[in-house]
Amino acid sequence: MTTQQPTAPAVPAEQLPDVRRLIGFRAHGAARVVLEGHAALEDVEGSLHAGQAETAVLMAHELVHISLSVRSLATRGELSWPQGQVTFDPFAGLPAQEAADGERLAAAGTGLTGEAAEDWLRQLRDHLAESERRLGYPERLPYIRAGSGMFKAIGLVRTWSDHLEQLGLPGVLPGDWALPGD
Amino acid sequence: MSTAPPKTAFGTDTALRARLDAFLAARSFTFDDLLGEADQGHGEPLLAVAAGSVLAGFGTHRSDLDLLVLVDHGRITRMPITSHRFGTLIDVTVREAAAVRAVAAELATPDAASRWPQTDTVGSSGWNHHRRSLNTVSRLALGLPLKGAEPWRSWLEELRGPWLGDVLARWWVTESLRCRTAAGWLAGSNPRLARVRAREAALHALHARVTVGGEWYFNAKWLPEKLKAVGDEKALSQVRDLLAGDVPLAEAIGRADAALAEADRAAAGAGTATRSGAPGSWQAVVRWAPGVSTRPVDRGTVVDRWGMRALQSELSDLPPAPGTAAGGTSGGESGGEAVVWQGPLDEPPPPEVLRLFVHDMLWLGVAPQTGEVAA
Repeated sequence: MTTQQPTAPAVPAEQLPDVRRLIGFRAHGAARVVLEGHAALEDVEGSLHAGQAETAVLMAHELVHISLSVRSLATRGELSWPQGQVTFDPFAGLPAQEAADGERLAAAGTGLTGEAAEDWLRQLRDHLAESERRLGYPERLPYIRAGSGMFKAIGLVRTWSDHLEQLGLPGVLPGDWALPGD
Repeated sequence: MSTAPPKTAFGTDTALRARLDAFLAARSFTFDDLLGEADQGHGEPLLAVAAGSVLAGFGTHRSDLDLLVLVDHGRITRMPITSHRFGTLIDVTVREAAAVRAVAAELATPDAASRWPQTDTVGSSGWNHHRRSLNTVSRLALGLPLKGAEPWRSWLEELRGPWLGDVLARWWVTESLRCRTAAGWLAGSNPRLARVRAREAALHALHARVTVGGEWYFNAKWLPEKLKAVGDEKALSQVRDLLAGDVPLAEAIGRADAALAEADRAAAGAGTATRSGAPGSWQAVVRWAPGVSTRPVDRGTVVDRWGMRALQSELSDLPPAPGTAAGGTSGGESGGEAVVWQGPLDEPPPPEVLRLFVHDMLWLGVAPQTGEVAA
């Protein structure tokens, strides 16, 4: 009599990223959402509700680039946040359709008012939320513009700082912050 | 040089105070509450200035109020201090007064040969230092002093000179040419990114024009509101087209060139020193981007960024890159000062340099060829 070998559940086939890429994605992606994405979304919302239609679309382009750049960190995106780097590519490694859809979403705010504008704002909010979801955090990332948010954000920085240093990767705080107050 | 700033450059203290009072009243925050925020444990301020988009007249219900505080010591960092008292967001920025005064003097220098941009000051460190300087000094100049004694009150008045408009307009001219150059160099390999840069080139050129026209507030996102403030409906229509994504790359570049030419004519008419001249009178200066390391190998040089992306260049005479410092910060500025290549803006770089550029291994700076802005 033969006994059947118990079988383990199937492990989904996946290409494993380099450890630097994996840690860089989760750490820098989170920092980018918290430090840049939330502020850009607020800018769109504020301008939209103030009747600053063109400024809202200008900031929507910025927001979508931030959001797409978070997604691109999973594969080929540049880690360091690019003050002035003209070759920083927020679309690096993303499917062409995803990049095109994002740009189309930002531009779609042109001339919108009322409920159509609110719907557009919801789509922008959902775009950033999807980028955040891909980072794989069990809870929503902190909102530093609220009272307790900065404290939680500092905790997030501490979570990753040792790993980033050991791997020779840049820290998640903006370079400006470490400078003396010149 | 121009003799007086344009009328629209500065709001009167009365107008600024009215905007501030409206912001505070809407949030049940008093003027004394705001003054209290100026004390962040760094000692009695030499000067405290309310600033930002709220005072500039562009602010929305989501806008913060900026509070710039100058103190007499340097035991501070640039880490932002955000106060959430009474649910109101106030961004407090503390700086050493002597350092800010030195930075302002650097911006206001009458020595044309050292005025930004120069070949040796358009690396990532120099670019970022200039950006921070413009941000701090212009906010002080355009803001409302809340507290402060002499000589700092008089010093603040001196910031409100035509030289400030010149340096601000020169920033936008330089950025437009930088983005224009990047668009051209990227067009063959990354057309989507090239279109983004071309759009930015056109927007920055319009920003140069509206800055010469007196709208000095230093923040790219408020361009449309500045155009409304000066009643430039034609430029605003161009902004709408650019943002709607309808403008092909070559046309965006054409619009940037036209806007820079208009800014030049306006600057010449106002007697200012901000003239761009033809792109051919400028040069591109490329250096290593932050985080780049180089390793000479058998056939050329292996170039990597943060040890994550790498390519092997055929070039074996490249200057060594500084590499990555452990514990460096994101967006850090240490790309190194060695020049990898420089040449006229209207000529493409050599193929191997272009390859490094499109793979985001290089920092692009631009500067006038002679060290003076060409007429």
